[in-house]
Amino acid sequence: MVRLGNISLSIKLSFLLLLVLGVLLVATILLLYSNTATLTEEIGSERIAQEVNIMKNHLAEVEKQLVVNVNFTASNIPFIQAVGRRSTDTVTGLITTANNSLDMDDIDVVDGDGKVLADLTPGVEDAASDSTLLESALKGNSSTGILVKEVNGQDEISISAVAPVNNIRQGTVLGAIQMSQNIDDEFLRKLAFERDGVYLGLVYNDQIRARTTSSEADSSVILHSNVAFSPDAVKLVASGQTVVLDKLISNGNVPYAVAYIPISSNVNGASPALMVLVELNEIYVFQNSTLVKTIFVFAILAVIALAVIYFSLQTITIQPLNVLKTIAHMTGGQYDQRIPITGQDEVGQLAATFNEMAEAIQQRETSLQAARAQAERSDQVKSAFLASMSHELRTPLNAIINFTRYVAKGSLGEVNAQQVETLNEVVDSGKHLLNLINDVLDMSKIEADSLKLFVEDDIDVKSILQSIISTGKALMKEKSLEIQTDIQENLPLIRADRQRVLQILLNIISNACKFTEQGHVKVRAYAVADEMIFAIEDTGPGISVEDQISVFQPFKQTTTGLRQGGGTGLGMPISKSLAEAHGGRLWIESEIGKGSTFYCAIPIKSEMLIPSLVA
Amino acid sequence: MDQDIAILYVEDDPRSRKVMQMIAHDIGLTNLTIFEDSTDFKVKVSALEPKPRLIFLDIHMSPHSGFEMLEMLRQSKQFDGVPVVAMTASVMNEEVHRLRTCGFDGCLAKPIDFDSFPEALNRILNGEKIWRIVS
Repeated sequence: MVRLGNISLSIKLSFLLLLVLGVLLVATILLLYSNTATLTEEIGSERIAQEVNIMKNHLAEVEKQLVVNVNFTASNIPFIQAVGRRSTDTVTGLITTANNSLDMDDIDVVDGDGKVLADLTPGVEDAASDSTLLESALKGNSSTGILVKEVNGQDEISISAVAPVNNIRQGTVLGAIQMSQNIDDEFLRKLAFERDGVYLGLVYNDQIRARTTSSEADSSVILHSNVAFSPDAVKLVASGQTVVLDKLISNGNVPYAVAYIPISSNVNGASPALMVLVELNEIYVFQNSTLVKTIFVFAILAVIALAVIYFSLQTITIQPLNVLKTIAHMTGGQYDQRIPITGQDEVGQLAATFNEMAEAIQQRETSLQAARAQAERSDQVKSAFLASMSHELRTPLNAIINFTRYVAKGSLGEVNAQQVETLNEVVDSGKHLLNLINDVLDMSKIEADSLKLFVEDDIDVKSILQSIISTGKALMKEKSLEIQTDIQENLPLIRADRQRVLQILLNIISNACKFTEQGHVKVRAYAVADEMIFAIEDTGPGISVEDQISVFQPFKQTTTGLRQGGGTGLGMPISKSLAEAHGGRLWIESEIGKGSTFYCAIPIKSEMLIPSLVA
Repeated sequence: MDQDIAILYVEDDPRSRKVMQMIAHDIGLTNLTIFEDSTDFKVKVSALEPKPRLIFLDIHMSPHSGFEMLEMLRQSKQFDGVPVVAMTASVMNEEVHRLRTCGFDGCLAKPIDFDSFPEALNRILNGEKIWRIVS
């Protein structure tokens, strides 16, 4: 799970920008969509009003034509004569001939008594309204109306006109003629002729009885589904008014405007209506393409805006921040690096603040370096002083000790025993002074932390042991002491500073010989794991528990040591420091009256020590 | 040890020269040459007859320091295999470190130990490198 806080700033910004642009895009689409929907409804209501007028006009024209046709036939002299003669054959012949050009669905002729003279559809029982219209015609009125007949079990709805057949000279009514046209699919198609996107349906008894579209197979044809049919509207239409539905009807995404026109209010009971559908496909297509184009343009603009904002942010914020981040690492202590300040904005201010901080750090670093250099210089001065001290003290001591010995040996003439003794005391004092100088210099180096070992590989500790044993023997000459050894065979060669290891062991064995009056001093050496252990055991007075601590502290000789005289009190502290400089240890096991054992452990081959001379 | 072995000692401090002369007298060295300064060292050392078999050099000298004299000797094939030992009172850690890294064949610290000097001399002549710092 990636935490948002861990994501890089540029990703966060991009995400935010995308979010904002996404919201804008969705909002725009919704706005455009609702706007175009309103526009479609407005255009739809205009179109439907227009089409309703046209259809009403067409219907009126059809009625007028019917009236013209029926009156024209009724005023034909041979026809009037034939009706006057009540000659069925002649009348039938005349209307059949006339219908060749009139193309009516039915023509009926009655005589003055209302008896049928001719009928173009003799098999079909005429509806009651037929006689109603004809009766009104026999009274001398010409009129139009809607006929509903049942033909083969189905309602056949037709529009018809009647006219009286008048005896022109006497002004009497000889009979009447009625012409009717079925309102069928063909009729509706003619009515909607050349009106693109206009569909008509004949609604009667809550059913669509005829339609301009012919194929039922095409399920998307709206007149074959009942989606546009509104029973409420049909009821309103029955009262004789035209109804335009407020809402658009949608069929397969294509919107339609719907209206109902009453065909005639002249018929009792039955009120067939004309359903007018206006397909608003062009608007729909236009709306869709506009929407798509707008979204496309908006998307492109959004991408461009995103890119501009992103690159601006990159330049203004993220790049300077990255520079800041890189420089802020100050790798390798490069505190002199500064961030170029590109402006006075927040990033610029941050860079300026950072530069101030870097400046402060650099100053502190400089003063620290100066202080360090100063400290190093004073260390060097101190070292040089110590070196010079050592040189200046040793040079006269060389003369003092050796001249005195030379005199004491009688090389410059005879000296008596008393003189020899005194001269030897001068030599011993000189040597003591030399030891003191050595120890004080070593101690000051240890305290200044500037003690350096001269490390060599493959040091044979046997020669060191031989050296300390012979020194020990020289020191115990006048005492009833015995030196014992217990040295492991095949001791490993060690990595160490030979002189310093020798110095440690000489210090220990000197002390052992100095403080032990009788018994023995035993030198042991053995390897344990990765350490070389030197143990020097004596049968001296032993060291109390308190003194076991102070023996390793500089300038704190033990009470016994002080009484014994000689020694600087620095030997053991120096030895301990030297052992520790090797990565080793120095410690005592002792009991008052039973003697002491000093242990020195030196690592056989410490990785901490690096040979001073590389072969 | 041959008593007449040719030894060269370069030393500007008169007391140290005297110590060396006393030691030589005491142990019977008969062929000890002493240079009192390092002027024309290269010329003078090359002219020595017989050629010294052991050379002791003081370090703090002028015009040439012990290190410079060592360098001159090392450049001359004449003194191949002749041990050159520092004899100095400057035996602090860093100084000895420098002596060892510069190629001295050993070091005897001042004050010189009268008693152990003959043994040290023998060991040096046997090719051993002695760094006698602790007296």
